[in-house]
Order: sequence, then structure tokens, then C-alpha cells
Amino acid sequence: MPQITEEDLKNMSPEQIAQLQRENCIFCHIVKGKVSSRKIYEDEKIIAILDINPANPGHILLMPKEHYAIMPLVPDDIIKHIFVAAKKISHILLKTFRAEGTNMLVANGIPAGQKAQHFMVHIIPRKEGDSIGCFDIRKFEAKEEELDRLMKEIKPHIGKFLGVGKEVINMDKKEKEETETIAGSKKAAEGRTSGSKDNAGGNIDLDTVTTFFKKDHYK
Amino acid sequence: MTCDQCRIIRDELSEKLYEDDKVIAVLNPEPAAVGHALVMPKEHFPIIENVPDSLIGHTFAVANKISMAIFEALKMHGINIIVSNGIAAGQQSAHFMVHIIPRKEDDGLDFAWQPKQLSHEEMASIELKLKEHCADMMQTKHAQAEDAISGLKKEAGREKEATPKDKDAENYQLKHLVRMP
Repeated sequence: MPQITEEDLKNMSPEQIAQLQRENCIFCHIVKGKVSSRKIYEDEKIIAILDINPANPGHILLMPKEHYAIMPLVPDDIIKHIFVAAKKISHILLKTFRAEGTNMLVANGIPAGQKAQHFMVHIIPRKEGDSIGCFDIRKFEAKEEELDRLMKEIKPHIGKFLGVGKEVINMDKKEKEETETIAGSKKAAEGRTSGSKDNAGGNIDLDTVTTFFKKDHYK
Repeated sequence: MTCDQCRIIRDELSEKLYEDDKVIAVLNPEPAAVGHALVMPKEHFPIIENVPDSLIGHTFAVANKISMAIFEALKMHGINIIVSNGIAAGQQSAHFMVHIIPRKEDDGLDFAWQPKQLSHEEMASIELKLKEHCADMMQTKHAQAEDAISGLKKEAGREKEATPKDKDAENYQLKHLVRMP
């Protein structure tokens, strides 16, 4: 594998970068069988293996066979498939190890503790007193104003990914809102076309991926 | 109804991040980090085992989108998605929910564990045991049929209100993660 510089990366197409990621991904190698693993389940879309550095015996990594760096890049049908499988695997762990609970964890991005650039779900069997303290989610009391402020900040973005309000798809309402906002913005800036509005499909672009991995570089 | 989450779901005055006919997303009033959100089914299920497959898919697909929205809105550096199943796993309320915890560098949170060293033999025996159970459990078609049946049963008019007896059953489920006989 030749050394790839920052400069090379800039000149590459998104497809080429994706290909490069796949070639460098240890879990893609595991999926293909180039690297050995302890596979416990496999179907056409997903694979479940034992973690070699388990939090507890029976710690499982469940992942799509296709390479997705982070969860936002994963298509909905794979998300659905993978978490239904996660539920079943959780049940299997409870039965097999007489576990008293399970944790599921997804880490998106290095600050969240993601170590490999392949989206995966950790499923960890738990027992009382197993001294895994990291999942005891700490609690703070949030101020009412703080929550209100966050709500205002986040809500406009929710609409972009999920549609607005109670109905997920309400085209009439959406169009109306869009025309309203456009009418508003037209006063401020003439000649802006409606075509430039956010695409409601909520496709995440490569920029977001790079922010998730801003510290990372390809070698 | 004694479940706090069900109360939030019914409270029309409290503002939600997102709501559709099956799930809601709210900001956690007791957050682990700024922007900590919860996604949960509107119907009351104590643990993930109780949730029908179709609803699992929907809940996580929504959770994924909510996480993107929060990531973008608050300019976060990463996102953790956590499900705690059972008291031993740190589950705090008897209503299945997905935690979305936005992360920033050096935010003082850490969901990393100390890896345990297992011998080659131990790993091999775990692999064998799990494979056996997986082969039995993962017949998706069978499970889908089950789901459809349970869905029909629900439509047939099961009481949604949790009676005190149900509550005991829930606590039992949370504690031991098994169904009541």
C-alpha cells in the first residue's frame, strides 16, 4: 500500500475515498474472511462476531457487511435489520450466560470512543456487580431555560431529517412552510430560488463524515 | 399509570423534539451531556425483548436521524447511542428507550470499559455456545410471523393502562429479564 498524503486525499473522488476506507478497514477484512474471527451469526447483510477485547465474556460486535464509517451513513433498511438482530442477540446472551441485563452501544466518532471506522453495535451481557461502571449514565438536573434553548436549536434540524411535526410526511404543510420561509427570505435577499433549500431526504454529506473523524488520517 | 415516560408521552404541553404515531423523542430532563435525548416507543414496553421487531426498526431509524440533527444543530464531535436493558445494565426506568448522548472532546464522559483477558479455550467455548443458540433464534421469518400475531392481539384491544399487577410484572422483568409465566 503506497503512502497517501493529504494532498492525494484532496484530489480523490468520494468513491475513491470510500474504496480506500474499505481497503484499510480491518472489519471489512473480517467480513470477507481475510482476517480470522469468531463468527457467531451471519446473513446476507450483517455479521456478528465475538469482541477480542470483551467488556464481559460474550461481548458481541454486530455490524453490516457493507462498509459504513458511522451510523448516519447507514441506510434505514440496514438499521432496521441490524437492531432487530441486536434484540435477538441480546436475548441469546441472556439465555446463554444467564445474564441479568445487556447494554447496547454505538459510538459515532472518535470523541464518542469509536475505534474502527466501521459502524458496529456492541452488545454486552451484564450481571449485577460485574464492575463495569461505564454504562451508569450520570445524571444532572437540567435548567428549564437550558432545555428550552436546546429545543429551539435542535428542532429546525429535526425537520430536515424527519419531516416536521406529528406527521412524518405532510407535503402540503411542508410546501406551505417552505413557501413561507422563502417569502420571508426573499425580502432579505432577492432572487434566491427554492431549489437551493435543504433536500428533505436528509442525506448526510461527506463533510459530516470528516467532522466525525476530523482527527483521523489515512495511512 | 405510574410510568414517568408514559406520563411525558401523554403530556401534550411538554414540548417534544419529534413525534409520530409510534415513537417520540424528548430532551432528557436529567441529561448526562448537553443535548442528551431519549427516543422511545409510545406504547409501554419495559425491556427491548418486549418490543415488536417492526417497532424496533422504526425506533432506531428515528434515533439515527435525531442523532444527526443534534450533531448538526449543536456542532458536536460525536454521538453515543446506548440502550440499557435491565437493572444490572443500568436501566433506570421500566420503559424501553434509546439514549442519544452527544459528545465533545474532553467532555469528561467515558463509555469505555476495561477489556477482560479470556483464554483461547474460554473464547472457543463461548463461540460454540452462542452459535448453537443463534441457529435456533435467528430464524427471522418465524419471528416476523410471531410479530404479526402479537400485533393482531394488540389490535384486538389489550388494555393499555398498566394495572398494579402489571407493574409488579414489569419490575420482575426489569430485574430478571424474563417473561412472567
